[in-house]
Amino acid sequence: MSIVAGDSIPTVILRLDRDRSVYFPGDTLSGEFRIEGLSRTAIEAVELTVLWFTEGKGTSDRGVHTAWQFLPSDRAFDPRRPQRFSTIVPRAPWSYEGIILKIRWTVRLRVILRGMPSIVCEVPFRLGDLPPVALP
Amino acid sequence: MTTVESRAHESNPFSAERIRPGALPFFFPAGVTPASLWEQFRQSGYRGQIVGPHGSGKTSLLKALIAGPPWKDFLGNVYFLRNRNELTDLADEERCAFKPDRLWTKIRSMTAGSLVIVDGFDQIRFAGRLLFILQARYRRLKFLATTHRPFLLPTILRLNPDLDLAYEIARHCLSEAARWRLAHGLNPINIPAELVHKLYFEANGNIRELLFSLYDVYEVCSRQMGEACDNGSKPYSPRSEYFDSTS
Repeated sequence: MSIVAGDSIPTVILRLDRDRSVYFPGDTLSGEFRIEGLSRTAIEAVELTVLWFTEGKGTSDRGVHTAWQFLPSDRAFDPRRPQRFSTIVPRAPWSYEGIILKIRWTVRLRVILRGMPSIVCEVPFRLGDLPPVALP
Repeated sequence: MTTVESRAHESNPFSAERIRPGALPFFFPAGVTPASLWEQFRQSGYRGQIVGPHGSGKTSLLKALIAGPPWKDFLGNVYFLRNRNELTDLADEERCAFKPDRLWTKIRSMTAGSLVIVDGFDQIRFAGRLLFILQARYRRLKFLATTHRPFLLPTILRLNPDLDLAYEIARHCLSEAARWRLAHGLNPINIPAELVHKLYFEANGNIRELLFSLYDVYEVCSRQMGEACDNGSKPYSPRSEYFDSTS
């Protein structure tokens, strides 16, 4: 699965290796991203986060499972080339599609640019296969 | 930080995260602008209050004011106080509890000419409010408060949300959600005006309560359209009085 953010230039491509978006605890979640149309000097940093968050009628909560930061000053980092990432999916919390509360997992890529708005793109995935809660 | 974001999940446009003050734009009443409010604030000696009932958008208005000119262009220190055990100095993100001792310590540290905004002023006791006003005057602070009932300050705006505003907010939320759905090949969800009308009066004109009710309606609609019922679970049969007029 991949998400492309940006209409023409710059373009951020974030992709998970698996086509199926359901993962279970202990699975390996891996993928890659690349950034096209941006010079290294335009990028301040790139943050990649695997996180969950809640959504619903109450205050939103969130937790970061793992995060990476890529800096242009690091010579090994070339945003134009696919940057691989991999992590082991944790045991909890499982994705949940309730009525007043939902728990969602996502891989979020934030490209922080110098003097320009950041670009954020996400690839959602599910942890576990809990069925959506049916309305009463 | 400003971001260009591609939302990956569909989210209920009436969820708390989407309707919190600052996330939802403030819909200014006709003839009222941030500039006109600043002018009124200036004319009243930089002392004023915004009065409105629960859920009328007082906090949203404050967030909208301090995010743009001319309020944003204010060169002195700006202190934004809320009764949620938080005190935010926008300059350095300082926080402390909204308790009398902390409050007095804080107000004594404020330099003359600073702008102090207190959201929920009537949550401070009567004597505390009185002392606060006197301290603000003594220290030559510019002081703006929001409150449910007027209290010894010039009223620069009285918020009276009406049905038209309810429609406008509902339309705004739904159109944003519709854009996402269309971009992802899904049919937009419409909530009939008659239902907004009914829920508005059920909420006694409280816009926040109305938006919570619309959250439930949107959930029903989206699940009925098969977004969340793809596991074979039985579709929900909505209450007929809500959906008689749904096209």
